[in-house]
Formats: sequence, C-alpha cells, structure tokens
Amino acid sequence: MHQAQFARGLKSARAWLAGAALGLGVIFAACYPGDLTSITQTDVVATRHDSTADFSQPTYFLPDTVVQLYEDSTGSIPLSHEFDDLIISTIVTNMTNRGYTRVTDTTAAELPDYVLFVTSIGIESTFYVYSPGWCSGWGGWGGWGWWGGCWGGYWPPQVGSGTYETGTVYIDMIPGTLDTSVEPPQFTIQWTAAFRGLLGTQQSVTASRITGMINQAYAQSPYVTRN
Amino acid sequence: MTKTLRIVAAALALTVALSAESKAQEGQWFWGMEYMVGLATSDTKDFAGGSLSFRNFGIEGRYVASPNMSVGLYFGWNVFFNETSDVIQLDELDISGEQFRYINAFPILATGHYYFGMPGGFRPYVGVGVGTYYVENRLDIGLSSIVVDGWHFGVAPEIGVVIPVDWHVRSFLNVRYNWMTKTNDIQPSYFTFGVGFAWM
Repeated sequence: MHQAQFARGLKSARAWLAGAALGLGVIFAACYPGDLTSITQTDVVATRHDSTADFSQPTYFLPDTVVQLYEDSTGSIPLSHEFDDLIISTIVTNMTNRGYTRVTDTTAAELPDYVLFVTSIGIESTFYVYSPGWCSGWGGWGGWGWWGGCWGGYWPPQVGSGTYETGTVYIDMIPGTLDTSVEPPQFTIQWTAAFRGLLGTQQSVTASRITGMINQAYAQSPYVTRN
Repeated sequence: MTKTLRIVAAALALTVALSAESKAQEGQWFWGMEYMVGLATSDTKDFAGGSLSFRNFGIEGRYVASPNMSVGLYFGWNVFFNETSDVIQLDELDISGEQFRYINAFPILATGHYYFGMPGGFRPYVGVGVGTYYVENRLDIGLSSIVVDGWHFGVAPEIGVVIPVDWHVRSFLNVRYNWMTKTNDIQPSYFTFGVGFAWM
C-alpha cells in the first residue's frame, strides 16, 4: 500500500518536474527567440583605428606570409595555411582599390609609408549543455503520452560538454617608420582589423567567408583610403 | 400599465440592478490576464528596432475601492527582439556581424484606475502604474553574448475600456505607455496595446 502511494507520488513529482522543465524551456525560447541557422552567422568583423592617424600616403609593404600565433598552453590549435594566399590577395585587392601601391623590394632605400602584418590564431573552446529531459517517460508512465514518445531527452536530466573551434585573423597597419617623438621610439598601430568565425569543413564556403570578412573590414573602414 | 409607467419601472429596475452590482463589486478583487502587442520607443527602439513585438503578457489584480476607482498590482513580461547586421559603432571601434538583440522587461507596478460610466456597463477608464522594471538587454553576436541588466523606476499611464461579458467576467482593451528612468545609461520605454479578460 505504502509502496503504491510512494510510486504514485514519485510519478506525480516526475510529471511535475518534467512539466516545469518544459515550461522553463518554452520560457527560455520565448525570452530569446533568435537562432543561429548557418555557420556564416558566427562571423564577426571588428576594426579599430587611430582617429589622428594619417592614411593618405601612397605605399605599403605586406609580407606574403600569414604568421600563425600558436601556443599549446592557451588552448590554441594549428590552422591550415591553405587560405593564406587568398587572405593576402584579398587584402592587396582592397588596398589597391583604396589607392595604395604595394612595394615588395625590401632593399630599396626608401621605406614604405605603411606596413601591414597579418596574423592568425585558432582556438578550441569547450561548452557545456544541460538537457532537462523533458517529456522523457511521460508516455511510458501512462500519463499524458500524447506526444507519442520522447523528443530524445533522458531522465534524469543530462549534462554534457562539447568543443568548437574558431579561427581569428588580424590585420595590423603601422607606419613604415618609427615614431621618434616618444621615448623609446615605437610603432603606433593605425588600424587593426580582426575577423573571427567558427572553423568549417567546406573549403569553398570558408574561402567565401574569408573574402567576405576582409571586404567587410574595409567597407566599415572608409578612412583607410587615398581616394 | 401605461407605456410611461413601463419605462419608469424599467429604469428603476436597471438602477437598482446597477446599484446592486456596484455594491456587490465594491471591496472585491478583479483578476486579469492580458496579451499585448508592444511597440518600442527611444533607447528600446534604438537597440531592439521599431518592429511590433508579439511576446507580451501581463497579469494583474484590481481591488474595487469605490464604484469608480480601483487600486491594484500589475506584473508584466515584455520581449523585444531584433535580428540585424547593422555595424556597431563605438568611438574608434566598429563591429559587424549577425546580431540577435533581445530586451526582456518585467514591470512590477502598483496601479490605480478611474472608471467612467456605470458599473456593469461599458466603462472607459484612465489609470497609472508606478513601480519598478527589471530590464535585461542582451546582444548575441558571433559566439559571444553581452548582457546589460538593471532595475529601473518607472511609470505607466494607461487608457482603456472595460467591456462586460457577464456578471463575473469582463474583457478589456488598453493602451499603456511604459516609461523608465535611466539605469546603466539606458532609458527604456515602449507602448503596449493589450486585450484581456478579468474575472471577479
């Protein structure tokens, strides 16, 4: 008798908790109705500039290499170099469109007006998820059961983890000469562009995203121009 | 009975009935639920856009203090959402990317209402709510979330109309303007257009 009461009580508590979990899920979805539907939506482009800097000079130097920042201790991961040429060529196209001339002779007597450095870093991050296990067992308990089973949840609630990888590319633009008005003499970064997104597996999509983000960096930096 | 007498008798009966209902409602609580459509203004509009919001709910209790007045409490939940790719400009910093912008506002107000017309009838009213709002502004961009939240003092003037359904149930329509003081450099405000039911 007591066992039957206990079983009924447990069933009732479970149903109540499952209902509460479902309610919380619905409320959370109602609070934050947006949803990422494609990897492109994870792409972010940030640019920062020195508003006192002079962007009107004609020449710049850009190494052919994308330098990768990689340290085991920071959770960084090695990135493929297959897109380095695309990154460099897209930057050159944008600089040309803005009226700048690339110089490649590093032995020339006259220094370029600007130097652009391109660096990249890959990061692996860990995330945690909580599944409330809603509706699991409702049908099995002979309760409402009208969903005809479960949406894939489990009882008791599950906690899981996973990882995702992001890649970030930085473009730094500095003057070609040291600023000797300060002690010690130093370079001042005139413009920085950083773009980041989830690492994908489709080469054509990744190439399109890289091109798009570099173009966006220039589009939102109209002051980087000689025109 | 002549026609005049019948009219007078009907008027007297109506007056007695309304008076009885008026007396019956005095000292009672009306409980209400409402669904609203929201329209953001000022800082709320700047952040979450100017589109109509269809995620707004409220519950309230009104204590009928006299035939023409009630006092009560109001709790609401207003959600404003905007998906945009607008460039965020902060001095020398510009950030672009797909953004999901959310505002979740929870008003907790003490209310007072004044009703025109006769109890039991079609009753336009004016009212005001005074209290606090908890407002969360959340920006999701890329894989990052930025949340700025805080409590605001606020007032909510309101106009509406109560429509009788039966002795115990009323429906109502209202327009409420929610105005809040500045917290964390954000001054939210928005209109809501509500429809709901109340029962005694």
